[in-house]
Amino acid sequence: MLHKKLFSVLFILLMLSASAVAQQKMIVRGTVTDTQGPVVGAVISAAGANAVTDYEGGYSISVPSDALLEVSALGYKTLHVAVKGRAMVDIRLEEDSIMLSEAVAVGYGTQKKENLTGAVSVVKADALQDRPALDVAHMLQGTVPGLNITSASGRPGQAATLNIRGWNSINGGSPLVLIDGVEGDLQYVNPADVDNISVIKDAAAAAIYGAKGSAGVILVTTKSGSKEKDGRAKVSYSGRAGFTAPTTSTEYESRGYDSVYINNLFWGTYSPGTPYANYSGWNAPWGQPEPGTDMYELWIRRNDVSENPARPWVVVSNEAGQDVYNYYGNTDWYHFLYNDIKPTTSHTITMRGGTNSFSYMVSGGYVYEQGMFRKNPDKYQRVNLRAKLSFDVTNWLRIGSNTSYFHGTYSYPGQGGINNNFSKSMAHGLASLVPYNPDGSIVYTTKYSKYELMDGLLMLLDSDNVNEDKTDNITQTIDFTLTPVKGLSIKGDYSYSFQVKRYLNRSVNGYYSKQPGVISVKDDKDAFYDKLSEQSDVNTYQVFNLYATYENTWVDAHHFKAMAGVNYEMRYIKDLQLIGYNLYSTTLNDQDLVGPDPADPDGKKRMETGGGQNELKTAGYFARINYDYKGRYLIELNGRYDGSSRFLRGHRWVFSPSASLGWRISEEPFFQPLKNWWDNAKIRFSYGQLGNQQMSSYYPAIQTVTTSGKSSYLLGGANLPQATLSAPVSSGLTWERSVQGNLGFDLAFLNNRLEFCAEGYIRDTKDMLTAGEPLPSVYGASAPKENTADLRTVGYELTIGWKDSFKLGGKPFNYGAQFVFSDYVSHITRFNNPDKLFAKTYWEGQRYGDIWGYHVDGLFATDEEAANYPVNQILVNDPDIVKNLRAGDMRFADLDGDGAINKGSERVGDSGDWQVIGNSMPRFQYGINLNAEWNGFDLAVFFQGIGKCDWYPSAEAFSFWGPFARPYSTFIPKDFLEDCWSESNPNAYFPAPRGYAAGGSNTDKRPLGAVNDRYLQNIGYLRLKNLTFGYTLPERITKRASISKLRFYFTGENLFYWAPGLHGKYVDPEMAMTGGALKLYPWQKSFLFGIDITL
Amino acid sequence: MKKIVFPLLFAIAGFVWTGCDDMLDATPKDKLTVETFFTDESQIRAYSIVFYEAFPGSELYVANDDHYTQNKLSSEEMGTRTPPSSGGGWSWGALRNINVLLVNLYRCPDAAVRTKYEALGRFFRAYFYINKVKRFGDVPWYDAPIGSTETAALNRPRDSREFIMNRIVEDLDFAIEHLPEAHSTYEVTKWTAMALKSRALLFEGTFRKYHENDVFLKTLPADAKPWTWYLEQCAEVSRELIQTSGYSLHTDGGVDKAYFNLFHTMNATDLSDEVILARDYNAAYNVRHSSGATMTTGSRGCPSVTKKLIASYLMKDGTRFTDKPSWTTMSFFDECQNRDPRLAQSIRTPGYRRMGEEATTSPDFLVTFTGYHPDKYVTYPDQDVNEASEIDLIIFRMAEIYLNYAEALAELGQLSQADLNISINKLRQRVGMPELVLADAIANPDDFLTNEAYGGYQSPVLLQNGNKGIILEIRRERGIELAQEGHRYYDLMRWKEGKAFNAPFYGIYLPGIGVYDVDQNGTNDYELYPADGKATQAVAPSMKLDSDVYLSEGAVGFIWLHKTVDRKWDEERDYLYPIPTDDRNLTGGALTQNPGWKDGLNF
Repeated sequence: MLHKKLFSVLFILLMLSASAVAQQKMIVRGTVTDTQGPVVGAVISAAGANAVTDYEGGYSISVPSDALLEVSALGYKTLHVAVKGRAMVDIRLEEDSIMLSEAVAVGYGTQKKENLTGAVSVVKADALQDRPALDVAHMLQGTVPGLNITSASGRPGQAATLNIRGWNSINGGSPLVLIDGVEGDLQYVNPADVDNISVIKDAAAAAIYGAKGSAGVILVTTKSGSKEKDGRAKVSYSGRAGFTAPTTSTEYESRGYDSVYINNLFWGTYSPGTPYANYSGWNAPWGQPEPGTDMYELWIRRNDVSENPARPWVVVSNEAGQDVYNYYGNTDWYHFLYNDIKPTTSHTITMRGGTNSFSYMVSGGYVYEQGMFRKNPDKYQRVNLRAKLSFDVTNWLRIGSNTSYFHGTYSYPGQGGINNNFSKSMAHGLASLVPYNPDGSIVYTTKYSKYELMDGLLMLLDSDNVNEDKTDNITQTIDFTLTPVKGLSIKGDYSYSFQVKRYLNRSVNGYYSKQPGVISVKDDKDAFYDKLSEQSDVNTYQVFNLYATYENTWVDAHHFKAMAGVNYEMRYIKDLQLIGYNLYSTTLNDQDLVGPDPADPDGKKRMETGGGQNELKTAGYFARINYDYKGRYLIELNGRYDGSSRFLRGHRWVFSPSASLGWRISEEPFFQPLKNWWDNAKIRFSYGQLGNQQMSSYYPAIQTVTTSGKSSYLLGGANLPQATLSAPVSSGLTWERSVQGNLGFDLAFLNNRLEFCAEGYIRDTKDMLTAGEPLPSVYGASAPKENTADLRTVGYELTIGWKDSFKLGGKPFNYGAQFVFSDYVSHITRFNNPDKLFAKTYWEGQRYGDIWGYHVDGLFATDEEAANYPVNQILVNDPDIVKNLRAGDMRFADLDGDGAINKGSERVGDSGDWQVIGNSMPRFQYGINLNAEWNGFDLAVFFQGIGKCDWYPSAEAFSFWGPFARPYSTFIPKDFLEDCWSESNPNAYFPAPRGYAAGGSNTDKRPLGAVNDRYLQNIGYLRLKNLTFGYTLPERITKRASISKLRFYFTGENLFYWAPGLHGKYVDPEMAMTGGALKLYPWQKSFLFGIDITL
Repeated sequence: MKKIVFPLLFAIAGFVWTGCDDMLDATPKDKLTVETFFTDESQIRAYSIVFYEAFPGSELYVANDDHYTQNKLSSEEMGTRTPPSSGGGWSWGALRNINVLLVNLYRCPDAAVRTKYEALGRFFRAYFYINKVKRFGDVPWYDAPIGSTETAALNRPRDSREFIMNRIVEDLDFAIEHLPEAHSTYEVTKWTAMALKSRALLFEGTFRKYHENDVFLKTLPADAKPWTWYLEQCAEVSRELIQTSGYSLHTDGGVDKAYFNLFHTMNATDLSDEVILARDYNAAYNVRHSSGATMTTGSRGCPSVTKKLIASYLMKDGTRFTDKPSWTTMSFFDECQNRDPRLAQSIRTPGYRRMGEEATTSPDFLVTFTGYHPDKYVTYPDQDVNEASEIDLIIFRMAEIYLNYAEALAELGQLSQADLNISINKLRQRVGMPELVLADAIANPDDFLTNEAYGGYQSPVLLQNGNKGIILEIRRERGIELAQEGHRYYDLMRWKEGKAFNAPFYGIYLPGIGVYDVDQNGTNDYELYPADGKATQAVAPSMKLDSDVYLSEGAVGFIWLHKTVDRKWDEERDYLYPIPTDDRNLTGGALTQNPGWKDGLNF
């Protein structure tokens, strides 16, 4: 049937073109304008010929003299003009009132913004322009209400974590990211390629993606080719260079005397009468060192910022017949290890163009960013290529091709991941020590303590130790669009994505010296084995989509659109790992260089291998129906039937339906009197249910057999290979579901200068997989996970925008402002914990993110007060750490009056002095965007922040606690003791010095490790996320060099933050949001100068 | 173009619409799954190794009973057990593993392999269940793994021990028929299955006999087989083992060493004449236990053999030690003279030498509080530290079968001298002891073994039995031959002799305050000093009378262990363990509690 119809359409078209040949052809020229001026990009077509207007609105087309020109442009009513033999035809287009703005990408199609009934936010490319962030995700932070972007560290190339509308499930879940319809990673997209991004937030809009879209969907559409006059390419180059720097203070104690004194002071409270660093005279009072002692040597050098030849920092002395090094240095370890200022640069070239039946977009990008490390600096490099082609094969068939390539390399020193270096650097780095002995050897162990300088970090950084993380991703899509009859289009595409992640880690032996002339080798720890580890994870992904859309309008009132299709995806992941020991070279890294194992009598090589593979297949049948009556009443129905290989037959398929309604009040006849100042008013409501298949295991329903182990029971006189089964799975495992309702308002006033959008939503996550009901022991295994928990998130979002223009000095002054705001709260609504025991983590009615803690009502003023405090604090004063309470210690409040600080029976309702003191979920997230443009100058300022978020510094957060965490802290904030209680400083922020008061083991029993409200931080912040100032040279000047646009600009990212509730200037609030011990790559700000050239 | 597009379109569409579920099947490719496993013998064997973990390891040679005590009494002995909320032996993971194998064996195409491993699985299922029956009596029976939503199976009430025993016998008969006949020291064979059957049926038969009409057997169905059936079956399988298995006793080393060698030979393959199954330990594979540390370190429970067992050893001439009037005041040195040679081969007696050493070693009173220092599985001194022993542990050996055989027949009243000669008298011959004569034993029951003051046997069923003389001799032989091999506690349970725990646990005789060289080797081993005095500190273990140590007669007598500890054996409760309350709750009371245990639940 279809076949026949197509054939006849083709036949008619052929006949038409054949007849056209018979007519006299002529060139028709003219301009297309609207009330404002020229219309760029309008399409003129007639008799199989096409033309597109240029920057002046001009066009030129070769048509028969009696042709009827069809003129169309986005946002305008389509016009038909007869040529009637004229050589000049000027055309004036009329704005289409319904098409106020552009089409918005939604799942498997587009939708006019006015007709949207779901919660979809759109970000246009120009909003992301100039942002120096390395990837698209970081640029989106603060631009879309309800889209939350966080980062795990500040290292170059660190991927962002995305989350739409807050906490989705106990089991996590992240939004589905589609790049030109193919599931991908925002990190791999060249920001310059992005045309627009749709963020789909509610179930109704996401339902077309079914089980994959339960945590929201982000659709990235890249730029396409444009049909330029004469097929001339539009070439643009964008380049910038600048530097990055830490967002926080890097001024730490670098005076050896102070560093030794403070660490010993904290150590002494833990182990009285002993020093951490045994510098002789260590117990003399502050500033009164006895001459002849080590402390005196440190004291006299205290103000030597660099080594004074008269007072060397390394002195050799003879002890028990052996020469040993004595260290009296003032080392600024932070700046020895790290650079504050690091270069960064990027370049992008884009070419776009096309002819009548062919268009293309080709782009390339390169980014280089150098990291903080001074020795063997870490480096991030990225290459992006994209080629997007489109052919109109006939007027009913278009074929497209989209190829993208991404390469990223992050190389760094150290061992066990870049953050491990920060972790090592934070301990055992006294400022009194120096990195190198006078003979150039590395300092590792010293005579002063049994601990090693920064756990050997200096050896790692100084050696041939190297790590390389490389990612290559190539994605190819081919697609076709058939338009056999008016209103019907059939689209199909196939994509193949090939991704390889390669990891290389090389460690070598370390060399150090403790005594002059004696070099020792360190080879007994994993980090110092002579070892090359290589891993390669290959991830192939194939997607096939086929869908048809039919659209029609009857009697100018009933607009109907239907879409239906199928989707099939396959993902396959294969890992391979190889570790070789004892290489012939320390600088060349190849498994062929693995030499014999000295410990093996036969001289065999020591090598270890690893593997692993996973597979995921999904299929979906989906359909959508849209209907509207005169653009006033809007209905949309979505449905998708999803199957996943994660589940077994019979449990595999899930249906995700949704419906949404919209009412455009402003299109009602009765609204017309208001139209001169009130342009748009719309109410929309949506409701839907989605399955959720996101879980870490690829085969959650299959019991696997582990065969690697050697038996601990000897059978047949040997330990044989042993096979064990994985834990049994639930015999009733089903899908998690997400049920969401959304209510939205869209308003526009004053000729669309003022726009307002508000959304409110309720999302219920149902049947979350959690620890199942306990089973009788006869089951014979621990109870498998079951779908037994529910969660409700309630939230709202606001967007307010203003844009206008006026004349200033005879030139237009354009300016705009946008404010976005969002908030949500989540509660557990079902969980199998009837007694609300803390031990089970969750319980019904619990607000997600609640922080429980004790109340501290002050510090003891005197030893006597501390000794006589009638409340037993032993549970928060581990006797190993706090031998006896004294002045300057914390006074925990006995809220329940039982004479002791405790958690009662550790459950809600009987929790003793343990109460909710805060909440770790970020509240009131906002972004403020201001921009202005005048006479070639442009300025954009972007603020972003969160209103409130509580954080209790983790016990091991050295950056916050300093030596309170452990009494051997490398980075002690300058003048730290002034922040600590003393008799002369009774109102200090921190209590009196105590080593291990926060860190160590059993930290919940440590006074600072026990969560309490005195040290609870509000990390709500306001950040000047971006400031850009640019100047575009007047075109009349640049035109002489055949340049249509030339712009210079400065842009700064993360320039400044204000976090009044966060103590100290050493922790970035976003770093605090990671919640851990903060042994992380610090957050960075950047300053760049850039140039944009368009030919 | 059309020519290409349409066929392509239809091909793709067809591909999509036909596939459906076929295109969504995915199975792990880096791991085997239950579906792809169990297909050949190497896989099944690798899976079945875990079954063997059911056999005792280091718990084999430690115990808490009337023959072997430690520095602390067990809650069983003190009567302080309470129903636990979970655990307490009510664990079922091992059974799940076994049943998973049994229901998945069909995946193996090789019928012979299937049969062999079905037999192995059923052997271990029987082993699992006899241990459950011994501990709990009635237990639910499962012959397939349970799904997490199979409520009926999860809440299955307890099956009667009669039902379970019938399943055990079925499983073992299948195992006996289909397990390999070739002897194997470390792997389960037909003979292991017969040995287990002998052990299981002796337990059940004697338990039924001695507990007849007890609360513990109230749930037996009316048609339950009589106890005699179990003992007859036990005797039959034991006889078959004795006559057809080819196993006998290990006699290398002669009367003074053969028995000692059983517990001091590193590899049980060197004992394959007697050992039916052993657990292999080997330092080369890092698989070790702690027998050396346990029995030579003062901080690991302090294992001590009691006077009750020591006094039961006969004189070398076959007469009774306890018939000597002076036995209650005899010194350690003296009482060790001219005894059943197994005494010197089981504990440190005067002149004792450690493996591989020429010098003698005395009992260490820091380790063993009674003075009777156990020595089974104690090897070279360099293995005296934690997890350093690599001597194999014996799980089944022929001597037990001889004892089972004799006991079953004696309890049935069918024992003949000929039966004794093919069983217990073999044990006697090995160590050079005179033969046990049936008529003499019946005519002359040993009063010491039934003396209440020393925790002697008190069961009326025994005392009223005309055959008690021979039964007592068999029990004596069992206690001595199988000392410290993990049998005694459940022997007392099946004989209904739990009250033995209430009797005093004695050690060596001490005539009063003083310093003692108990083995007369010239070095002092022990000092007892008065409550109001001070130690001379001449030797390391200096004990204060009536504080560190008590004597049976106050200032003189046997060392009296645990004198101050309350002991209360409950005849109506303590022969079975309590069922955990969590499990009772989770099954809504489908699991009933054992008699006498108060767990606060009203079902």
